[in-house]
Amino acid sequence: MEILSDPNSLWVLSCSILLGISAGWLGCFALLRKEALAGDALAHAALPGVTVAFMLFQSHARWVLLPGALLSCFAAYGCLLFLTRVMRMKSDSALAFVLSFFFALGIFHLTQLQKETYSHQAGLDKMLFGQAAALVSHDVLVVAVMCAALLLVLIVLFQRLRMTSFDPLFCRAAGIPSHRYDLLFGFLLVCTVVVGLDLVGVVLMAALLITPAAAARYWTNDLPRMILLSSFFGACSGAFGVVVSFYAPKMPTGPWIVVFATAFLLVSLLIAPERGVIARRLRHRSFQRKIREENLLRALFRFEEDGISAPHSLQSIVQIRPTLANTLDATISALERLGELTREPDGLRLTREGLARAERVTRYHRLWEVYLSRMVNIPSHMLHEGAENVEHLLTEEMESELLLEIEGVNQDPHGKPIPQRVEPESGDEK
Amino acid sequence: MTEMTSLDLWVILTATVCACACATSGVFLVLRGLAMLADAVSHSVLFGIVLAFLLTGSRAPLVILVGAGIVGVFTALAAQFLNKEGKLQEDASIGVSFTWLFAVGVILVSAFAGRVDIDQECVLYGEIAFVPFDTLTLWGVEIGPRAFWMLLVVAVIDIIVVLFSKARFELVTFDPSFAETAGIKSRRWHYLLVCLVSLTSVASFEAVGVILVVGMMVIPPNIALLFSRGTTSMLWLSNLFAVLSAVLGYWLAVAIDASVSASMVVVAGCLYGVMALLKYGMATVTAVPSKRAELLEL
Repeated sequence: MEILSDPNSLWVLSCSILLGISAGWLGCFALLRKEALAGDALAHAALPGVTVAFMLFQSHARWVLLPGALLSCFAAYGCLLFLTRVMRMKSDSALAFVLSFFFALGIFHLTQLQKETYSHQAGLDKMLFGQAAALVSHDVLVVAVMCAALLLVLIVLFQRLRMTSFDPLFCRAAGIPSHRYDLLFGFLLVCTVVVGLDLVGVVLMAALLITPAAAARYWTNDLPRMILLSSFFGACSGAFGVVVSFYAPKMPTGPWIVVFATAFLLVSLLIAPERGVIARRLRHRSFQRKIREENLLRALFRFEEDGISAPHSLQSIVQIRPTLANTLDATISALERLGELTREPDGLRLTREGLARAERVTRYHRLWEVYLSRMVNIPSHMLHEGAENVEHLLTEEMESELLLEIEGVNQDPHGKPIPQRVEPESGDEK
Repeated sequence: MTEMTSLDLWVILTATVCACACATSGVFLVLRGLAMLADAVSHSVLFGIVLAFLLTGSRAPLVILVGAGIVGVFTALAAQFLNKEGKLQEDASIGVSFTWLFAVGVILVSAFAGRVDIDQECVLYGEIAFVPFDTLTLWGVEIGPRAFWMLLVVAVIDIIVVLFSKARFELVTFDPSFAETAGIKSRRWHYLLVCLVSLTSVASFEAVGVILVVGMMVIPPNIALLFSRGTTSMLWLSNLFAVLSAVLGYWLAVAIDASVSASMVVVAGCLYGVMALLKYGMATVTAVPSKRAELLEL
C-alpha cells in the first residue's frame, strides 16, 4: 500500500477514520433520540460563525475559524431547543427553520464580505464541500485531539447519556437533570459536526452521523454492540473514501465516504438477519404458507366433522374456503410432502398426522373463541374473525395457559365440541 | 435606496413570485410535518441537474427542470421505501436518501469536471440579482426575465392545486384514518404535495438557491401558524409574510450590499421573531393577572 508510505495521506487517513468512529458513535445516540437530522441543521449553521470569525481576525487559520463555527452551531442548537420547547414548533419545522436561517445569515455576511475589500475570503465557502486533501499535519492534530476528547467524554458519560436518551421521564423522576444532558449531547454533536466540516463538508457531515448508525441498527438491539458496529462502518467508509481519492486525485473525499457508508446501509438493509428486508420477506412468506396449509386442513376437518366421508373433492373445498382457490394445488403438494394428506383420483384424504394437526388448529380456534366470549365479552357472531387470525399464532404453551383460564369447557360458543388434546401415540380418533 | 430601475423591479417581482410559490407549497408541508423533506428534495436537485445534463447534453431549462423534478420525487420515494420497507425511522430515512444523492451529484460534477459547467455554489446559494439578464423573447418581443415567467407559472400551478385540493389535503393531514376509510388515497395526495415541492424548489433554485428555498417554504407558514386557526387564513397569511420578507429582504440587501436571496430568508426569520414576540406580548398584556405571571415565566 503506497498510501501508507505517504505521510500526508497517512494523516488524512487516520483523521477520517477517527472522525468516522466518533461520528458513528455519536450518531447512534442521535438516531435513538430521533435527532438524526439535527446534525444536518447544525452543520449548515456553522457558516455565520466562520464568516464572523474571519471578519474579526482576518485569518484562515483553523484555530480562528473553529471556535467561531462552534459558537454559532451552539447558538443554533439553542434556537432549536427554544423553538421546539418554548414556541412548541414541530421538530421538523424547527430544524428546517434553523438550518435555512443560519445558513442565510452566513451567506448574507459572506456576500457582504466579498463586496467589501477583503480579497482572500474565497477559501471560506470551500468548507461547505470539505477539503480533506488540503489537510496538513497540524490541522490533523486538531481533529485528532478533538475526536479523542469526544470519545473520552462519551466513554465516561456513557451510562448517563444512555439513560437520558432512552427514558428522559424516568431520569427526571429519579432526580437526574436530563436537560443538562440534552445540552451536553448538543455540545458533543456540535463539536463532531465542526470537526467534520473540514473533512467532508456541510451536507455530507449529516450523512456521516446518520448513515452508519442507521446501518448498525439493522444488526442488533443492543446499544453497545450498535455503537461498535456503527463506529466500524464509519471508520471503514472513512478509510475507503480517502483511499479512493488517493488513487484518483480528481475524486472528492467526502462524497466517496458517504457513498461507502450508504453501501453499508443498503447491504445491511437487505441481508441483516432479523430486521433485514430479505429475512422479513422470507418470514412473511413462510407464515403465509403456514396459514394456507392450516386453512386447508381445517376445511377437510370440517367435512370429517360433518360426517362426509373422504375423499373430499376440490370443488367442495373451494366452496367453503374461497380464498384457497388460487393456491390450492401448491398447498396440496406441500401438505403431501409433509405426509399430512394423500391425493386420490376423486379428491383428498387426511392422513393420521394431518388429522392431528387439523384437530390442533381447530382446537386453538375454538379455545380462543371461548376465551374471547368469556373474558372479553365479545358477542358470539363477532368471535369467528378474531379466532381465524389467532389460530395460526397460538403455541402449545399458550394453549396450556388458555386451558387454565377456561377450565372444564368442551364446547365452543357456537355449540361445537372442542377436540381434546391427544398424545401422538394414542392418536387415532376415528 | 435611490431610484428604481426596471432591473430592480424585475428582481423584486421575481423574488415576490418565488416567495409566493414557496409559501403556498410550504403550508401543507409544515402542517404534515414534512418540512425536512423540502430540505431533502432541494439538496438532491443538484444530482438531478447534473444527471439531466449528462444524459441529454442539453442545458435547456425544460430538460433541467424535468430532470431535477424527477430526482426530487425519487428522493421522496427513496425515503418512503427506507421508512416503510426498510423499517428505518422517518428522519433517518430522509437523511440517508438525500445525502446519498447529493454525494453522487458532487462526485459526478468532479468526474465530468471538464464537461459539466455547473457552478455548485450557484446551485446552493443562487443569485437573484443576475436574474434580469437572462431574458425571454417571445415573438420578437422581450418580455422579461425567464426565471420570472417560470416562477410565475409554478406559483400559479401551486396556488391552483392547493386551492382546489385543500379539502383533501386537510383530510389526509388532520385525520388520515378517516380519509382512508372515506376512500381517499392518502399516498396519492402525499406524492402530489411532493411533486409540488419538487417543482417549486427546482424552479426557484436559480433565483434563491436550494438551501434558502427551504427557508422560504418553512418560515412564512410557521409565522402564519402563530396566528391562524384555519388553513385558509394560514395560506393567506403565509403568502403575506412571504411577500413581506421578499420586499423587505430586497430592500435590506440593496441597503447594505449583500445577497438578495439570503437577506430574504434572514428577514423572514427575524419576522418570525418579531411576530412571536408580538403574539406573546399581546397575550401577556391582555391576560388576567394570575395567568400573566405564568406566561412571563415561560
